[in-house]
Amino acid sequence: MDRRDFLKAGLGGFTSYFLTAGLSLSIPNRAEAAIVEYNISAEESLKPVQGLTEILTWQYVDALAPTLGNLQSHITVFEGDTVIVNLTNNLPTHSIDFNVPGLFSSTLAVAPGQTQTYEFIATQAGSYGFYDTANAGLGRAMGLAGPLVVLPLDNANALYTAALPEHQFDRQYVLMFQEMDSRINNAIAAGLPVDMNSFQPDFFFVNGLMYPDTVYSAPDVIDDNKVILMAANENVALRFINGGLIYYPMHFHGYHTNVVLRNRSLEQFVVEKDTVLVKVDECVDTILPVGSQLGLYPLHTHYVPGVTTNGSYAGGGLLMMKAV
Amino acid sequence: MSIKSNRFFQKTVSKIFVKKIETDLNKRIFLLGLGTMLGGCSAPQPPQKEEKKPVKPVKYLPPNEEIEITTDGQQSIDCAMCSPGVNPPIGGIGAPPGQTTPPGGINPPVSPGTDTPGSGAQPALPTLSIQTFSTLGPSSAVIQTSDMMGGLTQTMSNGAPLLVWGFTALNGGAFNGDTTRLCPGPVIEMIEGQPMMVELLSSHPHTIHLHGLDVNQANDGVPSTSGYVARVTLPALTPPGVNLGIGGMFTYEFTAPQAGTYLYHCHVDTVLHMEMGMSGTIIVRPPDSSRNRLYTNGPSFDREYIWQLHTFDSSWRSGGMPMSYVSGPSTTRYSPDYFMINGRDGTDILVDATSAIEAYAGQRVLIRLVNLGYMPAMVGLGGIPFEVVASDGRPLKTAMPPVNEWLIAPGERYDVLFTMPLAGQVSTSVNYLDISGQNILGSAISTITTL
Repeated sequence: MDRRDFLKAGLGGFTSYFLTAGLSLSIPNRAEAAIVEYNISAEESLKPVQGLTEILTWQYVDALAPTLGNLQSHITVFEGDTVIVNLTNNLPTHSIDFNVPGLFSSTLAVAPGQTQTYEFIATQAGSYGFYDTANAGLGRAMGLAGPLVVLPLDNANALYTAALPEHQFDRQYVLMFQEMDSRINNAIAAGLPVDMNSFQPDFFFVNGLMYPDTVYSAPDVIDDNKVILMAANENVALRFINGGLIYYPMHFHGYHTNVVLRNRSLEQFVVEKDTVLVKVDECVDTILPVGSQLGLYPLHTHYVPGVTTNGSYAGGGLLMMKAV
Repeated sequence: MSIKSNRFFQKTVSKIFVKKIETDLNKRIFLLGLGTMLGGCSAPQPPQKEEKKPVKPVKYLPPNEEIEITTDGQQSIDCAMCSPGVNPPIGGIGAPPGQTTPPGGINPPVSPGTDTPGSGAQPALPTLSIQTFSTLGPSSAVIQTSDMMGGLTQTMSNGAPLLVWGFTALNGGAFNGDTTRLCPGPVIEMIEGQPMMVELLSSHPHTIHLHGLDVNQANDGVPSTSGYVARVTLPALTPPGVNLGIGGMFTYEFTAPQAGTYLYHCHVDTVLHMEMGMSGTIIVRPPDSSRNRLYTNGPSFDREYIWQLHTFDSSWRSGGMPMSYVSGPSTTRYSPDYFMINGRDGTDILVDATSAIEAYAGQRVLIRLVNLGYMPAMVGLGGIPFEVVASDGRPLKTAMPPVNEWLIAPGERYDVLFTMPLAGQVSTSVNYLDISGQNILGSAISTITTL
């Protein structure tokens, strides 16, 4: 499998494939499972954020993936694939690991300077996150997370295998939420002990980006490669993956969406929503029926501090949906 | 021309009746608007209730005050407030003002235990009918903002005055018509499928975002995509996103969506304005005017409450930050220290008739849970099991077994129903969690009392 089939090459410093229109069109169905190998390293780097010059962050970095702000790797495979992850730890002091809750767990840690191979089978289609668990919440607080999507073999435009017609879609977006408390990052940078109990973030990201980088390519110029682009009467799948340590109650302006899966299980009761709660360790897959409602509509957490950057509104993980 | 046929841009005139309702408990509730009336007491009552309680009819007092509001989407603010009323009063949801409707007739109370309501041979026994909160609507509403520089303060249960901004009815109060409670704002009611007009008057930059109503972009209330409040030309002539300046009026025009519970809030510098109190609840009633049903053919209820859940962070109101009117370093982290239902905190909740639930045994009670705050909240009814029947203005896809507690996240609404116990009082709990969902930050305690 050529992973770049699933990706759309970055068009500029801000562009991420996740926020690129027409994503589903670039995913061909695959007839049978395969072996897919990823080489991922954990890196420590200073990242610029608004309101501060830069903060120290950690990322899982896949050199084959385009740069996505603070999110620099992602895994997309088909159901039944054997997934091999060669993880090299380039952090200076912390050992890390690689876990995919709901799919794969390992206590095998990788010491700084070492490489460890993790292998598992993508047994069930759906949305997942991969995380470091060796440092409790600290790994996620520093940015060690990434989205992992397992597509059904029978239909890449469905949320699960043998999906009901209403659980198939015309295009899909993957949205991973993350947040950072710069006090934690600064403590790590200074070699000081951290108190995760006081974790209260001041920076919020979607797919590693902060508003306005989630919407604009230049001041007042909306970038169709960044917004969630939709067309009339389409059904658009939005895969919400919580890569952080806080709740994300995601509010849709202009639309109700249908919650289909919560951590790969069908939601039976509370389906039609304008505000979808994504808890910690949770992945929620929804399908939005665009209908005839056209225009530009925000999509954001209603924990409104999450729509700020260093306290200033608007910022953080503010997204825009654009229906044309 | 009737209100219903009155389309946008045509002058609408409404009279909003302010009615004073006095219950047998001498709890006074000011009612604005809706014609749905407290009713008589004709429904059968279970035998055990007969022995426990004397007949406690709800007294309905005639109107003692009448306020006339004229709105005109095309005219200036001055004209909007001075035209004489020519149209019949709004009030088409329930019975006409002054008419008492026996609630038991359309919605007999559930009989507790094995007893069943009589077939007609039973004497008429008391029930509390559906109470009517002060609301705006159902075809138009005029709302103004209260964010005067220097601030209006709301006294909390510990005596502390906190700076609050809010929405109020024109010449009226905030939630439930209350003039001492500055937030949440007045409840806006509308009828499914009908054209609706909400006019916002403000001397400062504010909007109304109609959260969950799925209105079009021009009426979405988001400054960057919909424009600010100040728009003196017709909306259709103003490109989205154009800020025509601050101060003035804006009229939101839309069709009321399907029946259910929604909310509204200011979307200007949202993190600050919403926390300061600029939010409220929207109720969309079924089109068949069935005041006792959540939606058409939906579950019925005898009593109705709105629990608007929110918190204040007093530190966001100190240090001169509110005077700056913008979010920034002072609003970097949110650490609430007041935990409220309907704008009341602490022991004030216990004596607030809008949140302390009272009804007779066996009656079906609806609580519209609305999270206007930034914190998830776990709601429990003191061990009384309750049914979650709708969320975000939509019925559940399939019925869910009753629960003893339920989590409601910021921006969500859940409509829950329960049956009043045979007797006694229980304490309810709203436990506000931190945003990680791990720890309880504080609680809002109310009561459910069987009369």
